Amino acid sequence: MGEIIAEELEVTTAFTIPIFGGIPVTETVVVMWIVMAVMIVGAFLVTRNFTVTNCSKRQLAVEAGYTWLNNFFEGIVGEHGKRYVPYLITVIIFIAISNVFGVFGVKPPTKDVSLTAVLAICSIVLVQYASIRARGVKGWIKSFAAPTPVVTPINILELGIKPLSLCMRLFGNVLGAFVIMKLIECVVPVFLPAFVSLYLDIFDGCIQAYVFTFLTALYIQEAVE
Amino acid sequence: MLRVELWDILFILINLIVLYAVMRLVLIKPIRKVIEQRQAIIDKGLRHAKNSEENARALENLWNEKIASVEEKSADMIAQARKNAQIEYDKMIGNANSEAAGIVERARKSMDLEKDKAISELQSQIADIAIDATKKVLENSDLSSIDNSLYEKFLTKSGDADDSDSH
Repeated sequence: MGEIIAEELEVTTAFTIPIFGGIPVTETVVVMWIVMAVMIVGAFLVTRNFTVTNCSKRQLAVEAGYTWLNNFFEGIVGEHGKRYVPYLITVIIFIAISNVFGVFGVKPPTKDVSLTAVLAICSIVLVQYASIRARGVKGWIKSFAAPTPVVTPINILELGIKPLSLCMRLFGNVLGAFVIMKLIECVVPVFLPAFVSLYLDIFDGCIQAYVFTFLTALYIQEAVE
Repeated sequence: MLRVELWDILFILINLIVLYAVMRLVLIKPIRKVIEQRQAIIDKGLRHAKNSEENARALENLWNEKIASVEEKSADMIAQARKNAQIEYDKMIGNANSEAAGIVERARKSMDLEKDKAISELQSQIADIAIDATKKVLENSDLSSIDNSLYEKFLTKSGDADDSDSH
């Protein structure tokens, strides 16, 4: 059982691009491409034939979902952080779909620490960019000494701690859910995994997407206020 | 499990940037565009409604001013008409009074003339009666001795008596 789980947790190379001595493309990247394709094609299909008046039910549902997400993130980041809302919407949809992908028997890409690390780095770069844009370079540097210069080392450490916590929280949760699902599949291969998967893959997957983007939005709000 | 490959990181980063760019173009932009267009229509409708309301209020004020002015004017006209009517009434009453006074005066004159005429007729009738009576007396008695001077005297006296009664 241990060997099976260890094998499942290993990120394997899907194929190698035969240039520069062979560039390995992991299955995470391949699944991410699939997720991207699903998202882009889905987005294209749901936004087709949008009209201003006499809207279809599909359009109303899409607009309602977008408005809900937009208002949710705008409520957190505030007026000055409005321009970062599209990124947050993209990331929450991506993480949610990636986490839910486990339902189809595919290894979720968020199970790979490389992906969660990139997401966390992007988030923290965006937060620092927002801070520099809102306060200027001098204000950004001064912000490390706020509220008192005593906390400057902690604020500098936060530059690494925040993305690390974002990265590890998402990775740990998805990995944990994946391991539990594999254990259940090994013990009771029929019937039970379907119900547990509803919670671990769908509910927990969506919760983790929410937590990741919610924290990123909070960091942005702190940076632009 | 915790292996981090440089190429992996690079591919994922590029994927993420591409995904954000494409999603912004394919999903967020069309939805925002439709919402903004709808908002523009709503704003336009609200502006139009606000302008209409302002115009209606301005018209209402104008009409109120006009109605107030018309009411004032009509009150002036009624007062002037009353004044004119009073003047006309007084004039007509004056004319009627003077006309009535003229009629009364003329009637009085006519009555005086009729009275004078009646008196004259009465005098002549009395004279005739006296003559007749005298004739009868003279015919039935011997009064030849009575001369004509007595007769004339009688006539003069009876005539004087009648004149004094009439005045």
